[in-house]
Amino acid sequence: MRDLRQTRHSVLRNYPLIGHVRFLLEWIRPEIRQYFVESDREMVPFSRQQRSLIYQRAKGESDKRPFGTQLDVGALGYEWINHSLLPTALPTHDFRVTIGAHSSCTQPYSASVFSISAMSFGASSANAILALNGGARRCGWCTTRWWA
Amino acid sequence: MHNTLVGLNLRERIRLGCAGKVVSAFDIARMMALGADWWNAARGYMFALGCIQAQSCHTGHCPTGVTTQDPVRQKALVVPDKTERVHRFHQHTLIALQELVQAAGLTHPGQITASHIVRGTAQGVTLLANQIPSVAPGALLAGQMPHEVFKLYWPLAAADSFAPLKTA
Repeated sequence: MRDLRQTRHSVLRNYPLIGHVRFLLEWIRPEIRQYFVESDREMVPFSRQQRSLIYQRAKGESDKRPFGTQLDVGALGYEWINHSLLPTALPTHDFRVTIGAHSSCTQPYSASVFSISAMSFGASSANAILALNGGARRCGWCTTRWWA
Repeated sequence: MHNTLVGLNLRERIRLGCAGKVVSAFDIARMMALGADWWNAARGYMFALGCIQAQSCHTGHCPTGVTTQDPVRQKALVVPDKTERVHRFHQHTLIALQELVQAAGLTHPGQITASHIVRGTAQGVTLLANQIPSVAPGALLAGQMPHEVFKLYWPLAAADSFAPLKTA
């Protein structure tokens, strides 16, 4: 009876019982979609493939996939990096870039080519910031500190 | 940005960082090819912290404790464990980048250019270098406007203000 009289939800006025099922399903739709329906390459905004790659690397698990790529290598816009006939063997993966390399700079800074971006640190939790900065400190590189 | 600095002979003095949905080693190789010197990731590191892309960052109800000020929810994120994950994500991504750099026969990712990236187009397979505009060093200083974007915007720009100059 309360559903029939309320004025906010038209659906519940006509379907006071089964209408609630609709709201329940709509409530859990994003989760069902992410767990079961969403494809591995759908960008929402990051695809399952992208997320899995990051999780695997963060956990130290294998980031390799066997049996060839799942991507359509003939698709328009597909890109790759060409293999050299003279590959190199480098002693380190600690690639650096010197910011302020010009002679006029008194305090040049050697940054990792891969750093942590500015985030809305007002929204990030204290524990998240501690873990990010702790990880950055372990390699001697920086996070850009902007507060949005 | 890269082209403008090259055209002004300033590229050697200024380093360019890039960001935005760059998570894999190839993503960064491609950004380097477009002219970046380094890259920053935000959401990539959030995933390393355990983010599951629930997209409730703005509500304070993050289910993994990454984007919340709620002290109870934050406890879900165990700092020593996630510190290690941030560290490993950084390391393993750079190792993957090292593999790409080595395969391309280079010694530093900064050497990757648009001539190293190949792209499938409607006209067939072509180097990225053939698809994007480039500017000769010092061209803008010499008054050459190599592309439409410079012809349109360069005369509107002034050194002392971000406001566009009035045109006749």
